[in-house]
Amino acid sequence: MKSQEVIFVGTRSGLRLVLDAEENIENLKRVLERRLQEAVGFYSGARVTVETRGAVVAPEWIEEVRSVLAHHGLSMDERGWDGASAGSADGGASAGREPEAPPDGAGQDQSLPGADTVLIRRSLRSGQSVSFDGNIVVMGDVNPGSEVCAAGDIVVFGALRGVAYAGANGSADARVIALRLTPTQLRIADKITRSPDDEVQAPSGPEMAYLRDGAIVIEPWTTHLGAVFGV
Amino acid sequence: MSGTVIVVTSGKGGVGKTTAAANIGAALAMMGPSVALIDADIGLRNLDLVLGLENRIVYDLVNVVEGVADVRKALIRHKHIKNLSLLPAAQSRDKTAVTPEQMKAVTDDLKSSFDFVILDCPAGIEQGFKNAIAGAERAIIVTTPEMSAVRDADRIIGMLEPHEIYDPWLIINRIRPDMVKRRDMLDVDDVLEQLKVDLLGVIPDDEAIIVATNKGIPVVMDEKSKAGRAFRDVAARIMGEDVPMAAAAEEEDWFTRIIRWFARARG
Repeated sequence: MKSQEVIFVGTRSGLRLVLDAEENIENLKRVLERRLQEAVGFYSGARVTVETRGAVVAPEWIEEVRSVLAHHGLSMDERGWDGASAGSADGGASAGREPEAPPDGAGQDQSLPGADTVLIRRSLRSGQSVSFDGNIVVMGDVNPGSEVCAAGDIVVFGALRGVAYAGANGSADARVIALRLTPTQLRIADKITRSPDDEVQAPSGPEMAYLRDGAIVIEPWTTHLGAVFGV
Repeated sequence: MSGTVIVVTSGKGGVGKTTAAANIGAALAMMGPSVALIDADIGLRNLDLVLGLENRIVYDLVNVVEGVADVRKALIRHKHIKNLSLLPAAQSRDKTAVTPEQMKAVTDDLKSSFDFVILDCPAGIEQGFKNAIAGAERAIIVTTPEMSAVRDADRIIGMLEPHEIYDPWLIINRIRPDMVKRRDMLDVDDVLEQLKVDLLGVIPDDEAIIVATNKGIPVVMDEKSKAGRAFRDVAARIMGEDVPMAAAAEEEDWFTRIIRWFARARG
């Protein structure tokens, strides 16, 4: 059985980390460290809201957690702390009962993936990478050896041949669309798929990848499909 | 006068950077302009060998930046091509012996008295690469029709942009028309589809290159060599002449063309 001291929850509004503040800090750090190592960079670049199930914690405790997260490339969302440390009696406790609800103070103004979009008006070449806490549109190619990582959707007006990671904060309704969808590897939320090892027929038109029943599926992109998905 | 500083680079080793630099430099100089070749591959110098000038080296690039010798004193004039000069690399030092600022000072100095300053860049993306591109205004990317070389070329093109070297020229080296025909080798279109840069030349795989390199005579001086002709075409294109890409289409007969045409029509 998995330990309950450290729990990662991917929600629409981002990644939440629920920590058991009663636990010894050294032990907690060790578990957190191990979980991050197991994830091998999966969470890297993510913003994390940390919760303590209503327990009040010392600033030093916060710093310890922040340094472990930073070591693995994660940044801590300050707003999560306001809810957890200041409102320990009411706000914090309610977060404990409803773990799926967004943390206090972060729910309203935190933009959903899809609200912000960045436009890249060039091709990404090998070794270049873009990551953004929203959607990414590339007007050009994404070449092998390059990487696009978005909290929301990824749209490539060109050939996508590199690695694309949509829904990087865990949102399972993220999708990837490209005029030529032949990625080295495709990740949506917590699912990973790679290109077939055998040579395959190149797609003839634009395609879209999305999660269906927990698996990444690729379908030709048509306006009809777009209407179904409300794009 | 202010000449143009061009770096010949590739990322991957062994794709023919030094051969390309030597032959483009020689071909340009044979057409009239004055050319200074700089071997930026400190510690692994080769350009002097390819040009047959090894035994004439007195001072090198490191001597110049350290102030031991004036740059004009270190330059070696080619024995046959009078407009071609070489600034050799030091063999007993390494890439860290020179900084990008020092390198830029040397190229800035040389471009005041030469029409072209051509740098032979070492393989890799570290200090040696950074030195070589420091003073460059344009870049010639050399690749071979292999996935690994194309991937590295792509990386290099991306790395040139922050240094404000845009619109690099591409040379595809060691094309074997017979292998391309059998679809065993990437063809020119495959490479261009990924890299999307201007094609400066296609150099066929040619035994004459190996012979020429061993003799220390640039292959462009060999009238009969196909690769030599391709490099002369490259030089002409740099000079602004409109030369058709002959080498790539040369060995394609009418039958292959029709097959290709049908294949395209089918999409």
